[in-house]
Amino acid sequence: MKLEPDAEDAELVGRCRTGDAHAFELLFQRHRGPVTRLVYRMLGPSSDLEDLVQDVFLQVIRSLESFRDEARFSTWLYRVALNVVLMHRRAVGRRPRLVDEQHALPAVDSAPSAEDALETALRVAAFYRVLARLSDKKRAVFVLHELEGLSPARISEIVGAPVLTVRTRLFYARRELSRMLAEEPVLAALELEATDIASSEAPAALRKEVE
Amino acid sequence: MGRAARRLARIIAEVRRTEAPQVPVERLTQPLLAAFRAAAERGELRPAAASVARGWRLRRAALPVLAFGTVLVILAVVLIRPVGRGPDTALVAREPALESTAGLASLDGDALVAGAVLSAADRPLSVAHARRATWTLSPGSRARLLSAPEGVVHVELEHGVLSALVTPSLEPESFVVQARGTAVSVHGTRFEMALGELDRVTVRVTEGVVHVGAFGGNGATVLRAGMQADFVRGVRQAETPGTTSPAVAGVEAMAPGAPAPAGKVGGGPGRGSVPHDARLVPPRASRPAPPALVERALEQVSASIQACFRDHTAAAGEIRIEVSTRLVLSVQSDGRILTVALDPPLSPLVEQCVTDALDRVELGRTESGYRVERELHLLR
Repeated sequence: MKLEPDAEDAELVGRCRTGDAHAFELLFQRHRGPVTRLVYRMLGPSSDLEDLVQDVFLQVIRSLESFRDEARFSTWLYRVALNVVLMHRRAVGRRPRLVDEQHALPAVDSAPSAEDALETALRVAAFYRVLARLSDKKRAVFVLHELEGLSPARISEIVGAPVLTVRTRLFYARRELSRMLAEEPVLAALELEATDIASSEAPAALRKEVE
Repeated sequence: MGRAARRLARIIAEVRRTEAPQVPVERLTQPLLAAFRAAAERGELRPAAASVARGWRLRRAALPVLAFGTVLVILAVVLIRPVGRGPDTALVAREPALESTAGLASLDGDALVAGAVLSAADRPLSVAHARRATWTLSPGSRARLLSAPEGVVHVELEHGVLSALVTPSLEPESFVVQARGTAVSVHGTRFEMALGELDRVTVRVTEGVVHVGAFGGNGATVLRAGMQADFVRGVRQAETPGTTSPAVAGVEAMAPGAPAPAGKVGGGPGRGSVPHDARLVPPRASRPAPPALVERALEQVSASIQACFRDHTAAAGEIRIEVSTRLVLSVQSDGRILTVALDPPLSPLVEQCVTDALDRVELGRTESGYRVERELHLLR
């Protein structure tokens, strides 16, 4: 997701404030994809995904008056989405969890065969189980940085913490995840290839910022 | 790259390739548009400035009614007497001021959804976020909970007076209150915020330190314990010496500071501080913290920092590493550490270690808490 400052967002927000429903629909169309992906990555496979995406945009409507133009809309939207997910997780933690088998495995579209696809889907599902064990703060910075490719500076704006704190959380998130992955049978058996796939696929800006 | 790191990198790459499920756009669009239109009809989409301007026109038309309402608000505010001890993570639910206020309604803030609007009708309304903050609306006040993620509680005061007790944290901020363009960011403190005419916001700090500025802006005014100031959209207004807003009367000030064996002691009212209004509540004289106690506290904290520096600073062979940094330590009256600041900062690993090491440290009770600075010379 590209989160560069976008004048079009600002214009749409301005029109939304005048009650222009079409502008809001355009805003929704522009951002529903990135929001869905962020919610999914924060939450993992879940039957609540659709409800949460809707909640994010309902929250946007409720809070539009408090949005200040000097901030990037996309940064603010990310913050809203994170808050909605965290509130949801907190609420879910207080009630019995229902497992929806339909959403148990994520869809992986790039595996060469059905068998590989299944194995990859199992690994990804296992990864989300592990990711869910991280604290909210660490999971948020890990998802935003490693999966969404945002810089620590940008993440600090979203989560409201200094860059130093973001980097610290990232460090501990990686360390805890590495340890937990080794304890997860599906992931512990992950064949380690000579090429470093993540390094080769990570955005250049991301690699630079990580190091 | 080690085996664990390669495993993590490999799975990250796979997760990145995984597409998020598609949400049914048509099914979402119509309810959202309906909600949007309803909000537009209620006039909830305008930015704060527009709302204020609209409100002022209304006020001019109904000045007598508003004058009467203002008198009622002021009377309600004057009756608030949040007197208590310093912030304490274990005492949020049994904060003395809250318990002693008859008829106080209380809510679990963690069970509220973002966007919830809370109003205190004829009695104070208290909202508690476990281990983070407790904030109280005076009668006739209204606030909106903007967000309450794990770290930061974000509230917008829409009307009246809000007082807050924020649990100490080493995070940069754990509680933010905004009102008509002015935002107060705090971490571990006690303060009050009162909305005045137009965009005027009065902030009074009882314990700790708060940063006040324009919402979303970069600059901020620092207010310490015992200080009070007026702001309009985040900009500090000229002071009126000797005046104290009735909205923030009745609170006890933290002691200006305590003598330190070494270094400068800060935390007292600085430029722009406003004296307490003796007609309302006589300020309680507070004794400075005993120097021996402050010295022991400094030694304990310094030792923890030194140990963390030694354990988490990489060094090759016998190379000696020496670093100087300034420690600013703020301690509450109950002995709990409010803040530890290191300037220049140390590495994230060392700072995280310090955070963990001092998390549950208690340094001895004093009458009003203290703040002290010292130069540290760390060796590895």
